[in-house]
Amino acid sequence: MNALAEGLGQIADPTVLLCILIGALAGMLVGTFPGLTATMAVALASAFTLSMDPIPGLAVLLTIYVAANFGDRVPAILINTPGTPASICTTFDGYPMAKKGLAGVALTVSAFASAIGTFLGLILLVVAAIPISRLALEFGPAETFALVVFGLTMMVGVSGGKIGKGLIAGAVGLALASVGRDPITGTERFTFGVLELSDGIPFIAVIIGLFGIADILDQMLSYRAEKHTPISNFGRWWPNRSEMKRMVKPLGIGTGIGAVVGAMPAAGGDIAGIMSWAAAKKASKHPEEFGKGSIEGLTAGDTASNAGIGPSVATTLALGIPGDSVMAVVLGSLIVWGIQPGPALFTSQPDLVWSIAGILAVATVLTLGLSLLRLRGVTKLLELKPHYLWTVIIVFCMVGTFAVNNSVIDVVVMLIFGVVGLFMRRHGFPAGPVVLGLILGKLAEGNLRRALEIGGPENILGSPIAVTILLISLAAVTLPPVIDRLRARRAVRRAASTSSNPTDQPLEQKETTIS
Amino acid sequence: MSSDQTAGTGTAPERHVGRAYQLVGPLASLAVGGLLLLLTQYVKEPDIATGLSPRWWPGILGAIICLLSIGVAVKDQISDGKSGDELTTPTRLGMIRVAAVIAAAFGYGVLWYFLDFRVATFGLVAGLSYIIGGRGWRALLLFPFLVSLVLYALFVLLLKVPL
Amino acid sequence: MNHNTRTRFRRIVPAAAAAAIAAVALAGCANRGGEAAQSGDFPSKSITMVVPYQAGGASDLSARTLAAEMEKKLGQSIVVENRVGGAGSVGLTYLSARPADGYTIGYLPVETVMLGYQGYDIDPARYDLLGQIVSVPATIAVPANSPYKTLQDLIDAAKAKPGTITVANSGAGSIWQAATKALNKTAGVELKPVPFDGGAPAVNAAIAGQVDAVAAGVSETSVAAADGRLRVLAILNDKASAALPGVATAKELGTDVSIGGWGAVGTPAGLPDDVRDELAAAVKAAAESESFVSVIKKSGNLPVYEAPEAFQAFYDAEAKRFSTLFAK
Repeated sequence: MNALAEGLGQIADPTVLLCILIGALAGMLVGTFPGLTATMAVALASAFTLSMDPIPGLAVLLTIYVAANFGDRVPAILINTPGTPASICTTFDGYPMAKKGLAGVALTVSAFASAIGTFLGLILLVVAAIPISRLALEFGPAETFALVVFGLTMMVGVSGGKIGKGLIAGAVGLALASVGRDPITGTERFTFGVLELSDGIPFIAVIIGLFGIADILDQMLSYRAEKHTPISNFGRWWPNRSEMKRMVKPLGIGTGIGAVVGAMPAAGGDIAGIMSWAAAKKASKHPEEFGKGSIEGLTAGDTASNAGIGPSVATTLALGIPGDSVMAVVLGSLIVWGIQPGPALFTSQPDLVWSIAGILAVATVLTLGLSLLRLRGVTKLLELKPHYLWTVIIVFCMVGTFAVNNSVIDVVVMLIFGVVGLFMRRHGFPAGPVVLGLILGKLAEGNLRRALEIGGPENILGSPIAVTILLISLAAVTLPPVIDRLRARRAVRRAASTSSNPTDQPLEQKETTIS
Repeated sequence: MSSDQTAGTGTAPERHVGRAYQLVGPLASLAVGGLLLLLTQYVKEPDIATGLSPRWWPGILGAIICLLSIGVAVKDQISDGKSGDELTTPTRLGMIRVAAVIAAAFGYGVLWYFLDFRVATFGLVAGLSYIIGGRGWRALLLFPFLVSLVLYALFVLLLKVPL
Repeated sequence: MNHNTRTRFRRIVPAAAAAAIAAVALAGCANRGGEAAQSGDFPSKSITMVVPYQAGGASDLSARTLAAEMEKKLGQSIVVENRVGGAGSVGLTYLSARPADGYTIGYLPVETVMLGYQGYDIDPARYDLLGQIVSVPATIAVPANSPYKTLQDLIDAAKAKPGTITVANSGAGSIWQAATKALNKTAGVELKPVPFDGGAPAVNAAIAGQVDAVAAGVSETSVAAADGRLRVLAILNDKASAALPGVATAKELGTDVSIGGWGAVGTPAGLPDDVRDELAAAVKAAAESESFVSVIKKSGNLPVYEAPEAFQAFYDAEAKRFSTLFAK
């Protein structure tokens, strides 16, 4: 326990606490602006922090990481635009809640889900860093491919009840991911000579276009000034008791999925959030509410995208392999500071691990406080007249998208996908599967072909982990319809025997699955 | 597409779309799938031997998109024509505005190339504000000035993004 | 430590304030076209340094550290601009299209001489060189429990079973894939390169034994080699590295291959001589400064300063070498 006291003692320094405060403010600001990502903020900050000592430096970097994952929820809920990719799934239910007049509750629930998720992930970092990182190490191309296939089975879940069109949208997303250099041979595919496309379609530009811009264009299309009444009532701020109760299960699901995905190298909060949202939908008693303003959906996604932070840090510290793109930047700084990540770090510098955990904990509490404090002011945004609100959103999205890569092509892509998104909305194609396909596409194709390059099909079939995950995926696709049918049949039988009104859950559920 | 039904943002009446309209979506995705299959034929085969060709994955996806599109189109035509989509009715003014906003956004790119970021942004914000219905000096002068200032301070001064 | 922290922090606050003021000053004169540089008073305004890779990566770190040192020498601020994409070709193309007035300089990676052979429109002759600043020798490493104890074991195994010994690298067309090819060519064997999506996943795959070996930079393999998860068989460089004590070079082991990444500073071609001398002197001072050397060393790479003339010869030789290595 000496290391614990020493580690935590180091962050009780006022300088370090000031660094955490600066990081929290910067992170929330960056998170709130669509286009600016935590990775970018941490990279820019690392230019400053390298000249500092490790602990205050880490305080700034890690706090930005945590705080950006709070700030990005705000635009996701209020204007349907994810502040960073980690909050894509927040738009699924957060925005519908805001439209229903529950913006206050949505923001509060989201802030608490994010905070609880971060804490649970943090506990995993402290108690299980080494085993988690060992597990992550087991995931080679074959196993990663299997996990991605599992992720793809969530496609149906994020289709919003329209399976056919959802799967088309998903396939289009996967196809978009194949733009650029082929992952194995380096051959150009569908780049039409545009240099910027040879690294692939700019992902952030696509999601800002599909969600934020498309939504504004859609509202604009049917807008009538005389009918417009700005939302003046944000409803309650605190969830009531039954809503709190409904948060419990998705919190568990979100933590589990977030922890596993977060520990995986190169997979971050965006994937974790979407997978957890779809899993929570399957496990929920009210799956039909998902996508239409479900507290469970909001909780599941936000918990998972933050629960990955702890395990991601664990993978980075214990293996020296970045758990996601933010940690890749932090890893660079660690090495320059002379801190060698690896299994030995936990025995040679246990105080450092405690300091890092302490920084993350303080940052989470502080950011939660700041979130709750400024929520009221932020929701005033919605009261703005459309010509102010929409103009601000469009302009900020354009400049933010440019800033990601200093590239005009990115802005053009964003506008094109704004129009594509509008078309999709008007013709009943859900946007969620496109994003899921786009995120998973490169991983799916790259790892499958890499696995085959290394050892042919037996490389995949010979891996117990890969085979298990593939079997689970198969079950995830085939079992639910079978179970639904059985349930429906039982319900019909029950209805026939008691001749009561069959308004049970299963029938409703079946309807959404078919349409 | 045109309709005299009233629709506001909050109170959108459910509008059931016609059969011809229902075909537009699947046909568009069929075109996307077909285009993908066509473009796949132009991907260069690599010189080195690999397990799977670079054409393999996009080819499969193109075929899947085509098959699903046909399936959805057929199903929509067979079923009762009610898609259950809740769509608000587009207004004529709305359509003009959407087109104008997109044009303004692309125009901004051109303007930005020739003018300083602050000037171009001021122009864009004022233009968008006008298109969406802002009138008066506050909406057309003060507001664009403030937005340009905030963006400039945040991106250029704070984040050192070369705008 | 606490005391140290505070003094350092105190030094940073004014530095940050100064940076902000410099940025304001810069913004005032940030017109997009270039002005003809008046000889004698160069530099009269801030300089932009184009980095063709993402902020936060190893190249970006080298460039930013160097820029900070160059600022001291030149008395003007240097703004680092990351232009990312196309394996570095976006930034390099952007750099070559800027006016050759000395107010735009750029970080040139080894890819500058490779990309032209991989279907990108990049010509090494479009840049004037200001000097090399860093070297990243390639290493060949195997998992700690691998049956291959020496480089010769690996080569013998590849001879016995051509095309089945897998060697991970950071991506299709990367310098580390080229390193595997170069090793194949020299040793007359057929090791199978397997491209991953980045250096860390490639090293990870070797640690976990999913591939037989990995070709990666010193900075990428030295961390795992230090705690015994990876055994580095050889450094593909003329000189051994301090980051990998006790590891011989491939040349010493009888396979004369020297290949790896490097970083240099360059400008668009056609720079006036006096401006070039001014900038080259600043690069030299910065590349040999204590803080630059220590940052690069800590990151596991080699701080190597090479003057423009000497480096030009190496640069041309590299361009020639890749033309034969990528020849079909």
